[in-house]
Amino acid sequence: MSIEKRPLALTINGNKIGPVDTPVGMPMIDFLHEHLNLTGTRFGCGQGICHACTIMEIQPDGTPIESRTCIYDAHFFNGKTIVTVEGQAKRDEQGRLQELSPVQQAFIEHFSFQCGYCTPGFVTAATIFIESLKRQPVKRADLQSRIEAALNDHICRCTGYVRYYQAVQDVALKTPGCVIE
Amino acid sequence: MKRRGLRNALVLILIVLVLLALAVLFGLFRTSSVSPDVKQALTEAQKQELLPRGRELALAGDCFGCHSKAEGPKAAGGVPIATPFGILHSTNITPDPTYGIGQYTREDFHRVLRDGIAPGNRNLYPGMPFVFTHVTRTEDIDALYAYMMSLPPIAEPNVPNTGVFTLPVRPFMNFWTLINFPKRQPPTREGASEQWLRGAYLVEGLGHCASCHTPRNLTMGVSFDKHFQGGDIVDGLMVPNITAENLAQRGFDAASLSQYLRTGMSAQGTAFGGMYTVVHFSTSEMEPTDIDAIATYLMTDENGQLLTPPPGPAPLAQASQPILQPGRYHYASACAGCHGAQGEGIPNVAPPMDGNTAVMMGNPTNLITVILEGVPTQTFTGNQRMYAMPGFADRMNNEDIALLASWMRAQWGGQEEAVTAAQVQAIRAKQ
Amino acid sequence: MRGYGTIQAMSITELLVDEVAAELGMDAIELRRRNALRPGEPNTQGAVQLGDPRLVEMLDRAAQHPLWTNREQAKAKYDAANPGRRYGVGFAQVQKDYGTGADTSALLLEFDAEGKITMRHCVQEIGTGATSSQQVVVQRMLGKAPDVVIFGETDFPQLPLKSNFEPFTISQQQQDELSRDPFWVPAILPAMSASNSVYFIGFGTKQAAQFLFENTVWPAAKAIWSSGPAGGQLASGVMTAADLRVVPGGVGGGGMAPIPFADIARKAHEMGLVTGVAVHCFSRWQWARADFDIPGVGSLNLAVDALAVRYGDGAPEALKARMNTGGYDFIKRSAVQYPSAQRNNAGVTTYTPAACLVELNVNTFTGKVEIMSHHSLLDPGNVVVPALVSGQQQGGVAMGIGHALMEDLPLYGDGPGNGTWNFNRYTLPRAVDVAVWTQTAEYLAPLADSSPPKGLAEVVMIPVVAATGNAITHAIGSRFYRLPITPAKIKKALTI
Repeated sequence: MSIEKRPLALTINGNKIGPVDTPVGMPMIDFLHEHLNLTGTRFGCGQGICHACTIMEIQPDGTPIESRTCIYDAHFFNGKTIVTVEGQAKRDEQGRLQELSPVQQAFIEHFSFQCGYCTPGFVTAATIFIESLKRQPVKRADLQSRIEAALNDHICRCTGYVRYYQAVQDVALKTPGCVIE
Repeated sequence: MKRRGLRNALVLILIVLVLLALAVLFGLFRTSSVSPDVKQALTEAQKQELLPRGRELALAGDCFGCHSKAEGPKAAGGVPIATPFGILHSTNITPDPTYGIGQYTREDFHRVLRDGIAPGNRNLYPGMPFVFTHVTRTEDIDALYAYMMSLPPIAEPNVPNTGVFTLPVRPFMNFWTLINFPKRQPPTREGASEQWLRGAYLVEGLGHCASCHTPRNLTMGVSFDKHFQGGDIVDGLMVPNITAENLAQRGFDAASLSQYLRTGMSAQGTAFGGMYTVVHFSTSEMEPTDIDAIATYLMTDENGQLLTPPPGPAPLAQASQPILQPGRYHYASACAGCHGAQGEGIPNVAPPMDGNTAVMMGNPTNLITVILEGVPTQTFTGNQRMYAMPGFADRMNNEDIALLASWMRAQWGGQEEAVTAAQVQAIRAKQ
Repeated sequence: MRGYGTIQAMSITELLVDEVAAELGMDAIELRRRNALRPGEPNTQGAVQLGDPRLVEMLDRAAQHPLWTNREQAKAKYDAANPGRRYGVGFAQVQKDYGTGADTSALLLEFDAEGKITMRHCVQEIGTGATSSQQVVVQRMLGKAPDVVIFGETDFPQLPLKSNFEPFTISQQQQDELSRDPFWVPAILPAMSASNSVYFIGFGTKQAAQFLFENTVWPAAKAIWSSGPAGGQLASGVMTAADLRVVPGGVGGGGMAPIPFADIARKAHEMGLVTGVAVHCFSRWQWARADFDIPGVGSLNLAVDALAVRYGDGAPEALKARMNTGGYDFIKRSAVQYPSAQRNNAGVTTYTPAACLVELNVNTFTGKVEIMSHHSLLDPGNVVVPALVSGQQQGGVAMGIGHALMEDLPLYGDGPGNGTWNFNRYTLPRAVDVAVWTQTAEYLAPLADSSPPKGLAEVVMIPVVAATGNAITHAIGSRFYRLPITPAKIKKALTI
């Protein structure tokens, strides 16, 4: 039985990957895990429901959007630019950690995650949300419901969500230009 | 002399016409089909006895699907229906004495359902499907009356209509009813079974299926000569042809159609858009025997034959041709994760595309719309729940979607005609 | 990390308590108050709880909460303003046991002459944060967290213990016989559970740190404070071991200048004091104690059943020669007092109480329940790591809401046993379902600074379940005995 393959090329965390012959229909999360050893993105439900598999896709105009990786194959991302959780923090040329992103730092300070399984998805979603506020600020009175709209699809069983949401509210309030009175 | 005679004749005809028109306008030609028996009020005991039947009939009519906002309260009205002339809103039909129908007598209620006329001789707009509820039998209307009067009253005022409907145009409905309100009877057929008769009575009456599934004429009346041949676009989706022949050709038989109506899920696809509302508020709550009757009626052709589906379409030659391969790859990339590499779906999670009735429709509108917009999370009976299907409007361009839809229709729909990027753009533009 | 167990029974009994209160025409909190366990009262198995249950105190606090006191007014107002929706407030209180009746702990805690502290501990991290809390315990008791920690240690050469591993079924006679062997213990290593780490496993950590504090840090500090002319800082006052404290800067108390731990360590090694201790402890709802004769320290009765020590670099050769058990001197106990075998029948003595008030509304058309806010009450004892307790409590109440309203798992063929279920059908609570912004929680302040920490995990998800059910009953009048209370069940109860 032969597996049909097609060439795949994309940019991940700033690095050009491929072209590499990749099986048609291979879930993107499998490609990240097996071919690139980027295991930070999590396989949760496998049906696009829990959103633990979410990564950041940078659209041509620079806008980041959420993309799940368990329901699309690797070729869905052909030619695209994506950032996984491994690419969120600042690293030096040797790949050593220099500085966590503001969202990551807030999650640590607020003790926002416990087992950590859903965390890469939350980091991605929260980062995209803050970026969206920078482009289009929100009124203070609407901030909480907007955070809900941005994050509610992400399931967590350990934390009950409170500290995740408080952390994102904190980042939004502290990042200039995100919230207007 | 002749000219004056001609002019006089014309003036006379004109006067007669104007008088006739005024007569119509003032309802002189509007007859009543209400039985004189209903002038007498029902006793409490009578009403109590009628409640279960009334409840079943209210479900069949999907009264609450229109007369309740999605978040309730029940039967308090407020649902907007957009028309080219303005927005109509469904009314409060709880027995609230001030804002609802609490003051309606038995006779008043009959007049509404049979004639489309509310107390005070107010003509109802055909947003209320009185053309269909007209065939309902007297004892059944009594049951509905008893049931409606037993609901908790909600003191919510009716939402005002907009556009043309803010003007005093109700009398003009008398013109409309002249052409669009045939005095129909419950369908019969020689040798028909009890089940067929029951199904016919429900479908052509309270069920008012034809109000969506039949084309409408210029005056927005139902074109009964094109019965069940499909309707307009509702919420971006084309209302399909549901003649027995068309249903069978798209894979349904009586059992699977019954299952679809009872649960919202079948091998032929799941209910979404307008039919989701119908399944949710109406058919999934009705007695299974009534649903079987409806399915039997719908799957029976004019000759009394209960139709069964032919074998499903085999993949067409186009599906393997190079020009459609990008469509196949799009399916593998964006769709197969849920709908299966072979279109087999995932049980209880994502419906199969192989055998899906929307893929088999001649008109690709619904397939394109679903690819663009996705489907929201929906709950069905029996703890069934399908998580939302994502829309791909922001992920795939018109060319991609055209190729994807073309390949799917060739692979599983038996449809030769390709979908063009222009078609996709036209649908996208309407959203 | 939360386990399962009594949530099922407690949820239903708390619903029934409300039903009984309604039939008696009594306030639901008042009925609980009249029947709550008081300190020293035995439970149905004859066991007497450790310490003050604080149940009545918690009920009193809940009864004064505005959600409870205003509930009828708030309901009248809400129902009038929201036709088709009905408001309700509900309450429940539970107490959840922690411990197994054969709880053990084992660890090794030592420091070198530079003050580097090493801890090798049996506790394993299963998500409870136990590895954090054990380090914090050491920091609080010695003034410094361990520099090197090894967790999940199952092999302690310093404690060559043996056991017949039947702590639950052993007879008194057997236990008396076997315990004559100073290497025998009823059970060696603990299982890991969500609630046994801070109190039970932490008990061993506390014993080890306490031993070093009293028998090493104190003599070393005393020696340092007595040094210099005229008997040093210490001479003109009276300071005992009881006055010794961990202070900023190291070890102090009695008005003495704080000594950094590194200096204590150097002195202790110089003096040849005990600079490392390995302990094993055992509880059958009561801690075992044993007598140990420790060279250089004396005869002590400690709440451990096995002990080994390491002497400092400056210790005499004779003492060093004794350190032949994994580099430690295993001190054979001269006598041991194990809790009687009969205590296996008595049942649990350690409990953590928790209560919850839930405010919600029911949409009578859709059957959906909207949780508007909730307030949790908890007595965690003296908290070791606040974020761990808070995170556990927030996560637990969310999980409980799922159990109360959403997580239906039907039996038989169409249920999850058929292998096709996923989160599309098994509905988990999301942030909008748990009043993420409006929820509040309060902890009862510890009665004293010497109150132990209480084990808690599952307890935080229990009272919210019945509180939600009781709130729904307050809202629409119907009572439900089968959970979860789904929209379908509510619609059915309201069907006309």
